[in-house]
Amino acid sequence: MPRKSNRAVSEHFDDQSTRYRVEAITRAVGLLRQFNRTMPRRSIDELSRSLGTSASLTRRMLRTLEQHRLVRPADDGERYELGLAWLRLADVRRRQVDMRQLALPVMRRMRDALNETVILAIRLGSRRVNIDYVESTQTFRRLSQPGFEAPLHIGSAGRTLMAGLPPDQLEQYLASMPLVGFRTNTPVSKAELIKQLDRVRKDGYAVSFREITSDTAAVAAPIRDHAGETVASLTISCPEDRFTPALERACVAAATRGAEEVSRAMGFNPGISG
Amino acid sequence: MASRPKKQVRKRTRQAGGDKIVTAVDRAARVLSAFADSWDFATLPDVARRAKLSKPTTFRILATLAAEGLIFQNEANSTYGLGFLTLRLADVVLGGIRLRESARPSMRRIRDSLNETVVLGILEGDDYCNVDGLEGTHLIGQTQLIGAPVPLYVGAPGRALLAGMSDEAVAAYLRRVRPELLHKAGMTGPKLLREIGHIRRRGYAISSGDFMHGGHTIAAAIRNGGGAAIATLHISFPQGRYSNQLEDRCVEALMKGASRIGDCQPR
Repeated sequence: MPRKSNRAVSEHFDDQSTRYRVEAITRAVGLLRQFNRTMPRRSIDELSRSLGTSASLTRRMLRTLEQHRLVRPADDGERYELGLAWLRLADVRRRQVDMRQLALPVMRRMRDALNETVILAIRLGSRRVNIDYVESTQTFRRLSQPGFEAPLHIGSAGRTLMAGLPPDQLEQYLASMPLVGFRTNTPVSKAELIKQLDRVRKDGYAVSFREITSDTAAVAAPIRDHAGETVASLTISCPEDRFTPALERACVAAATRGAEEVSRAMGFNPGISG
Repeated sequence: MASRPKKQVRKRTRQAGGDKIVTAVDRAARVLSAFADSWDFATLPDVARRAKLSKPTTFRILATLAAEGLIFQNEANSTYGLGFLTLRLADVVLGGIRLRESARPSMRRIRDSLNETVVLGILEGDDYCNVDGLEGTHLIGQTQLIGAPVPLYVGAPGRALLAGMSDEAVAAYLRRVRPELLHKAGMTGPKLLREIGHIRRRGYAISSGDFMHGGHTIAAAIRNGGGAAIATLHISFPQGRYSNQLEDRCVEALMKGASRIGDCQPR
């Protein structure tokens, strides 16, 4: 018998997955989705009304989920809230699927679209560290080594990470780190740096010129996790003489869209965790 | 044929502890729980074995949960993991734990000054459950079981919570807890009461190796405005890093942090 191609197998599966849906489970997930940040506690009446189920079925679903710690009675004794087992499952999910795994396909797509180098960086204390990259294939291109590090206030990737710091940590950084740059264009006064960070928060990206190397430009956007915290930055960088206003616009669009896509895969929901 | 729907209904719901449960939902929850103890992706037979369900049933449940975002299917090798919706739902849970928000600045201060992992746990019935952790940068650190229930008699955080309860509440707890489970953990009622006495005098709990193998755990209870222990802060580190000095610094930082967090809790 000839082997089925991957595509055929996958289509076969999709077909089956629709055919084999278990309605009661779909309904229970619908019930779980009724709980959100704005309405973390719901009554049986509210849930029955939203789901169009009888109160007795809603109660049975809740009791079943409660036995597995997926929901629990709220403090008021009347309503229900989501249970602590979700913390366990989310913790496993985060370890199963790491950020690099989620970011790499997105980074490859960004590189393929613009053929410029894409860099993933995280924060370690007061420094940013590049942990992965996908390189442009053009003769003149931005090079990167995983492990390269720099103080947070230097370069667009660092300032993107810095803009996401909680106020007390930002304060600490400004009080303890000497604001000097490697080359040019790095903000070296506290006032100028704070102004630039505000701008990053407002725009959702940062642009830098010749701060790390003498002839490159870069655009960086923040990657946020399920809790809304900035956990990484995604940068697209190229030789400065190629960085026309048109390419800058394309890089901004690619970086912000790419970072958004990775954030969403990390569980970020702008609606609830912003 | 006329009686068939009735039969199905009976089959779908069954008695459990006096409460009718929905069998399909119970099975789906078992499938999800099958992922709680391992960080690896699992094959269909793995999941079926852990959930104690047949392979066809497990397959249908996985397909349904995958369509809903609770299961992630790695199509390259036909293995399964947990889906993005687990992160969203966990986020809703965290948002409902008001204590976490007020604990974060203190936890961050402790982590930054000691570079050790700091964990926040809350009371959940007769268990305690870690709900948040900030990690230090040591390469060897304890893996914190976020979201897993741990009996109160096991380890420093649970005992710190017990020590923060009234004598009547502790007595009622000891009547509820099964002695054979206590024994299994190398504990007895009187021993636990003595330990609670020690913790009350010192103001913090310390345990070595009884739960986290070979590690030291130091815990301090967080009390609400009414003085009831509702949560704990704890630090765990491996034996190899232990020194009296580190212990003293952890105790000081945890007690200060726990009282600062407690100060902003309502009754």
